[in-house]
Amino acid sequence: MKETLLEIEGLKTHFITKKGTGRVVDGIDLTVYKGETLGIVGESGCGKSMTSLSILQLVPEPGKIVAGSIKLNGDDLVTKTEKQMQAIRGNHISMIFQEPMTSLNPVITVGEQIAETIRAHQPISRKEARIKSIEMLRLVGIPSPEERAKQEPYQLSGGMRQRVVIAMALACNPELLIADEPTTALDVTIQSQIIKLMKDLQKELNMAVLFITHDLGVVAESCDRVAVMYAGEIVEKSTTEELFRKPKHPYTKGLLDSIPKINEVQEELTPMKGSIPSPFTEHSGCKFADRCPLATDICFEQHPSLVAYENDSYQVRCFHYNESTSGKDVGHAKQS
Amino acid sequence: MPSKAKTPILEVTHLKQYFPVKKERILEAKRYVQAVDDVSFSVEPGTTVSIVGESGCGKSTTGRAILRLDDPTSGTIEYNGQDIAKLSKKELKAFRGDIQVIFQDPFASLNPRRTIRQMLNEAMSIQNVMDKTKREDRMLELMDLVGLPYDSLERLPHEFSGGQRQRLGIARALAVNPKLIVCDEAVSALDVSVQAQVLNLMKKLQKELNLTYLFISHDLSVVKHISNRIIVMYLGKIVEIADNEDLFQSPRHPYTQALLSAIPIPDVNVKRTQIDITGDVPSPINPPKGCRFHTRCPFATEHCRTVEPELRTINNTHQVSCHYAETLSF
Repeated sequence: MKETLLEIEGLKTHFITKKGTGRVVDGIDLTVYKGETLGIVGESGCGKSMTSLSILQLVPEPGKIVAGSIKLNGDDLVTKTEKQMQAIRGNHISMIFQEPMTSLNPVITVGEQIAETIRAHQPISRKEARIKSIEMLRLVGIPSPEERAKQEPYQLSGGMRQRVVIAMALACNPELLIADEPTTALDVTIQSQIIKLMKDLQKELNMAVLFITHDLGVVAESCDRVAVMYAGEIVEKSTTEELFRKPKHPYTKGLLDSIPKINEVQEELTPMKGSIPSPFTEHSGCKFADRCPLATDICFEQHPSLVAYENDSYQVRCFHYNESTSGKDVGHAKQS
Repeated sequence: MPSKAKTPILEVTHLKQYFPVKKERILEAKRYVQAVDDVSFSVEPGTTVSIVGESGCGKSTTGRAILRLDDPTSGTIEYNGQDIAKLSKKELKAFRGDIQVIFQDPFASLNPRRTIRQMLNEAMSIQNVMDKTKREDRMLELMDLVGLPYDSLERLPHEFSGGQRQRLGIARALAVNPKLIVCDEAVSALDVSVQAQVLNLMKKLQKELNLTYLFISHDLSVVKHISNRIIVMYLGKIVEIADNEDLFQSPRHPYTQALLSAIPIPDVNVKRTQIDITGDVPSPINPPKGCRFHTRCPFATEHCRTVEPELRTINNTHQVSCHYAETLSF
């Protein structure tokens, strides 16, 4: 049986401004099991990054978690004080970002930066921290780590910097690593090196990874399960295999159809019409309805809920889901 | 180059673009970044030629030289048979109208305080494309072409979404009736669903207006979709040139193969042979001797470390610069 590590229930992160309420994250349920990689995929503005910042209680002003709970090993993070959260960040949950240079101090050597992180969380001496930092650099595959530890970030290439950031994030053996577009700024050949590294480290350290990305290719390569987000909601959730074998939600299908295929010849792409709605827009029905090829009256009137099919093996938020999969797979629907 | 009936619209010959590096010590010998080092290719009218490669390979520098934004260190660029370095002032102005550019970030290339009408008007009056009285109609036509509503003309750039801004960038480029458009990472900043819309639009416009595109991108799946011919660059050199299908079906250079196998494919059923290339791209200030790719190439031999391979033709449309192009199998 899979053990639950992180459980998010009914999470709503709203931005309350003079213009109105921006529903950036609008009711998310998500479970991360120990040792797995869960992908969150969606286009810009779908709320995927804000979900991860909510987990760490780092939502920027004027954003606020207005409802829901985020339980790490059964312990609700939403109610924690800032001081308690500091003990959790880095020790239990770490995060890496897209642009490594913004997470590194440009005028401190990388070895010192990693050692500093370790000492912030663990009661060890400077010397021990320094040894540990070199060990971490070796772990993430940096050649001659003793030399590299003495260098400053500008002396490293983009791929190396991302390795340093990963070393820093993993220095205190977190149970969960949140990776927010960790390979987006990298060239493809470096990207495939970093993805491989993250997979190896995950096995070695037995941690769970929450992988946030816009790239469905990266998802196929690195995730066990996937949640597809659209306008602050999860529209589809299933195993990676199921998602690519048979995408269910019209948005997921639209996304997949929009990508030029490397292994076939296409005269024209099939894009979705329109663009994503602003989080300030009020919806009474399905948020995807006005871009959806299957939308009918009910889609504009009622808001569909995320329904689980086939013993919970996948969940879809769509009234017409059965039509979009050509009428097969009528599961015993239950309200989730 | 293969001899086809058409004369090329653009011919780049032995282009070199070196940039001096600031000296660290007074007596140090002058050093250069060899951003583009001896690159030759040609573009036929009405086609799309793409340049792909990773950051620092010189693809954008090549594009800038073609736009005459930088003067080349050596080599020539001929547009319709005329050397662009030798154009008179008047000819240069006409050249600027014929060649347009679309950049990655459309917001950075639009003036935030000018309405779309002002922007298009300025472009048309500088190039004197048509009679003032007809410009109004032309603007509406442009909006139709790129699929934006007419009232966009009165609006400011910040009022548009990313995809719409890229459409405006395209409209702005089309306003002066160009023949050749250099698209430097033109769709890279867009979300996939919007990217697909813009790519379809660009293809449609090419057919309707008989445009030639020089498409610069790091994204091989986009390149595959839009190109007729593809140039792969690595560290300032061309490693392979081939027609679209040829390149994807039978890449002959190990670097091309590595690039192709590194693309994550959104399909769990596709299993591919991964060529792992280790390490990073070396510095273009002091590029490796011999073949520039030898430091990362899994097939490199002593010969590769010492002798630089020429870009040579292996069948009539396929050129590759690898000593072992015929014998390697991936």
